[in-house]
Amino acid sequence: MQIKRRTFLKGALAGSALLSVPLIFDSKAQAREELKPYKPDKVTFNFCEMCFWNCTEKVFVNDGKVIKLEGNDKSPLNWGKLCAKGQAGIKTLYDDNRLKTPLIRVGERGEGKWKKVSWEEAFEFAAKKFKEVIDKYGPETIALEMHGTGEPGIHRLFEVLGGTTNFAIPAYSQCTGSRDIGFYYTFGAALGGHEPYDLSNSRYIILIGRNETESLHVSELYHFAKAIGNKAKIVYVDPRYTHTAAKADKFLQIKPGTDTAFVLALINVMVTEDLINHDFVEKYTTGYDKLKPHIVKYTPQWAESQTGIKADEIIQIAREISSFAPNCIIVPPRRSTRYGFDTQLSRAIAIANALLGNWFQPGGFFKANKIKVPNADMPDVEESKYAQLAQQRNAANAVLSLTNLPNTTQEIVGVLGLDNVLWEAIRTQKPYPIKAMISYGTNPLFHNGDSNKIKEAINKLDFYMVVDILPWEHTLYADIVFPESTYLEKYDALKSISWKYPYVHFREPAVDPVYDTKDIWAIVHGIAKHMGLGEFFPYKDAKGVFFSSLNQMPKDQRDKLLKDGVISLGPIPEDVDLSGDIDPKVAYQKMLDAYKKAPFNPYPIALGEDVSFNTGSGKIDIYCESLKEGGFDPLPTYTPPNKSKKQNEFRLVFGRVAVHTHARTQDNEWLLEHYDDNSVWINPKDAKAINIKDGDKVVLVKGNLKSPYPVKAKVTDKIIEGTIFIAHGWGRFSPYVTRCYKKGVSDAEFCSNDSDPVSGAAAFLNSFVSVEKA
Amino acid sequence: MFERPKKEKNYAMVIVQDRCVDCKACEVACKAMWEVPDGKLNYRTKVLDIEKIENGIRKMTFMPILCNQCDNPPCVWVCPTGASYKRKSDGIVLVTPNMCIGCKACMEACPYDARYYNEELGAVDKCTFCLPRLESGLEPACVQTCVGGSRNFGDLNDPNSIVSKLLKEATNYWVLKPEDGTFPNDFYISNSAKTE
Repeated sequence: MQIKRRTFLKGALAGSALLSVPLIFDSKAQAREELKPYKPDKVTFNFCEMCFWNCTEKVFVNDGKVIKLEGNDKSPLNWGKLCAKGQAGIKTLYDDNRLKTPLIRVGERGEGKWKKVSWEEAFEFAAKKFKEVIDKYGPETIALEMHGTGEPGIHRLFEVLGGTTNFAIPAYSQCTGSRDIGFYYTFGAALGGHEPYDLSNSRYIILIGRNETESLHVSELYHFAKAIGNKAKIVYVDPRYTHTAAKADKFLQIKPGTDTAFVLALINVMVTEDLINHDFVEKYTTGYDKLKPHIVKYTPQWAESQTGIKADEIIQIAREISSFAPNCIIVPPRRSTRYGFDTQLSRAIAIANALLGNWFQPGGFFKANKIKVPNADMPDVEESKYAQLAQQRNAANAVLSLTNLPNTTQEIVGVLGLDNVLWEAIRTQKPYPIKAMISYGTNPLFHNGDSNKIKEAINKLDFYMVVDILPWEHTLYADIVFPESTYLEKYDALKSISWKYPYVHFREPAVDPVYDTKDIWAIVHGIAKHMGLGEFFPYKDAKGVFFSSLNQMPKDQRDKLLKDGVISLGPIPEDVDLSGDIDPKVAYQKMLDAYKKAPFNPYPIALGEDVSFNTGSGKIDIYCESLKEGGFDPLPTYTPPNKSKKQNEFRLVFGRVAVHTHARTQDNEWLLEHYDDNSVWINPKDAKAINIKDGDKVVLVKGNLKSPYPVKAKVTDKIIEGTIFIAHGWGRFSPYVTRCYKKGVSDAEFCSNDSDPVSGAAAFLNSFVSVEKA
Repeated sequence: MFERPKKEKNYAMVIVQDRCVDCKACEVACKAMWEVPDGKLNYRTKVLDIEKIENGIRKMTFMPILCNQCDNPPCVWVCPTGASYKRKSDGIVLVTPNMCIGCKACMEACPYDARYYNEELGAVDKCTFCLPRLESGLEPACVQTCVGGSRNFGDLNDPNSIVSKLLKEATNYWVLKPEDGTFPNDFYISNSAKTE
């Protein structure tokens, strides 16, 4: 018997039996304790809030404690699967660092000195502060930023207080804004939070910096893995070799900020070699004739000089993907807040996809469907005296006053806001003073570029209110902190999600709140009541809101929902299986035939339905008139990225790891086991130039700014020369989140806070920093 | 082909290696399920990252590992107290904690590094293919949550099980360290669209 540990992976075909197999018997069977089958006392339904994909789940409870979270296998969103973050939700629920009572600030802003107060005191305090701000400055000077399932609750309070336009969902301006606006101008449709990529049925996938495996969402990644199983060809374009690169057939290490040149060259080849999908382009698009002369100058040879990707490689990829049209896709980056020309990139990607004719086609973009659910019964917010006061005052939208965006963008911004500009309006107190701010489930010190400016902005406020689960850094600056219950301790409004397979799921508490916390509907109810606005919140908590909409549902739907935790429009036809010797055409036809009988249709164009697009022309606008009218490029153009002015300064890029969500999971014990500190990735040539070795402790420096907590240098050619990479969400400076306190370096502090002129969204990757030994 | 002992159920794991995306869902699910003590060294299952450069091109492979529930289990043979044993009915290798004296001979004997010493339990602990879950009609926790659809579990005696189908249709499959003659029940295949 060999007893040494040996290296793995001496893989070979199993086949040769070296030893004969002895008989199996257990002489001590009598002495063993019997294994008990696994049976939790109670199973409750929920959907995950560890990230915003909101996977449907079941919660297993024993002895009044949550013991296991599991995906709900009846949900067409995640098929019973949860990621590491989802599985680790238990450790957030039982995190002893959580906010445990309402807190009122007693020290200076930033000091984190609080007194514990009762809920009544907290409500009274917030109500008094809001009243003061409204009386002194007007209701329009109340602002709000929010992220998470509780958004409708806090937004309702904001509206009842007469808050008008000064709110933001950072998911637009800090993340997907430029991507979504680019697609909106082209297809008349933003891609949204649950993107309509039909990866599982795709035969050729180009990912432009879309790191599927690490910026992960369960079903999207599952569908990506299915594509791998189908032997789809995958091309991954990124300045950094990520885990997604490991899954790709081809990894192209592109120079940062030059993706648009790459995509324009793809279009150039498709146009000049006449590889486009003519039927589709003629029927559904406008402006192809204008694109043809425009694209001539963007040759593959020119793109090589910009991107560092060989012209031959670009030509080959353009030919290959076209040969799979329409069952192929070019996936744009999700967080597209990069260089300030990101809408141009998004437009180029949208147009390239249009030329492939993959809209509403298997393997391209599917059509999302949604199940209608009734809203909870509540009085109209416009009846509120403050809303009426705001209407009389008719104040300008502060964010729009500070920007010069094209008309269509202004409409979108009216709905989603621009968080980057909103904070700038607060900091500068222009065009008028904004005096109260609410942060709900967002941490502005971690989602804004050049984030030290946010501290300055907070000091301009008369009142800063935070609702959160953990005492993150921004809570240190808050005048009042409301501790919210986690998703495992509360009800929430019914949630219907529009996706390939539409579904509705719900949340119910698995356990009573572990600490003295409340759900957001209870918090806003309390504040409103103390302001004499209780009538606008007829339910004292989320439970009431949930049951109000539930009770309006048809009985059969309601019963099914309560029984299964989810309802969908099934049964769902199977995806194509291209792993065997099947003719792909036959496989696709089989799937489409099945969808003909399904109660929802993700592929209307493939199934021959007439489709019109929500653009001015009713078609896909390759050439965009409305951009032209606004004084912007009607066809996508290329601007090279900025350059460092000094030697040995590196462009700072950041991204995510598979086991953390943004800046909100860094205190989770199980996730910390897998990733507990970020390191600075630096190319060997750059490292040599500044005499840094792998594993050296380093800090980042930019002007007077120096990162306070040293981190390790990771010297690797996985990151392109001239660029350093760090994972997002580190450099934690709240002493109350003890597990991650003083860990890592913050990307937010060092990255740029530029913006894209078409979308208004942020541009974070224009910053250059130096790396020094700690 | 070699002869394996006949069992009422022949539980096996078939891992589609290309579909592992190293998301760590399996590791966290397993920790949660079996209250594996915190700390990186304590695990019943794990995903290894293997990196090499071939012809100037970087290749990174993700490899899920767990107990192979060997049909010829060295860990069972070296156990001095009989705490480690293999079930006759389904071949699952288990440890009876109150019989374990913590000598760790089994940890040394295991060629797959699949066991760890559980301080809280005072005994060696390992993957059980989630036997208590199987008895409640659930899949192993790692399989149930596998985001890439890489891990597949079932009974090889049942020709309609997903594992039988995957092995039947695979052009190539392998086990780890066949030269050790352990007859593992975890099989690896390179690619398939057919997982559940």
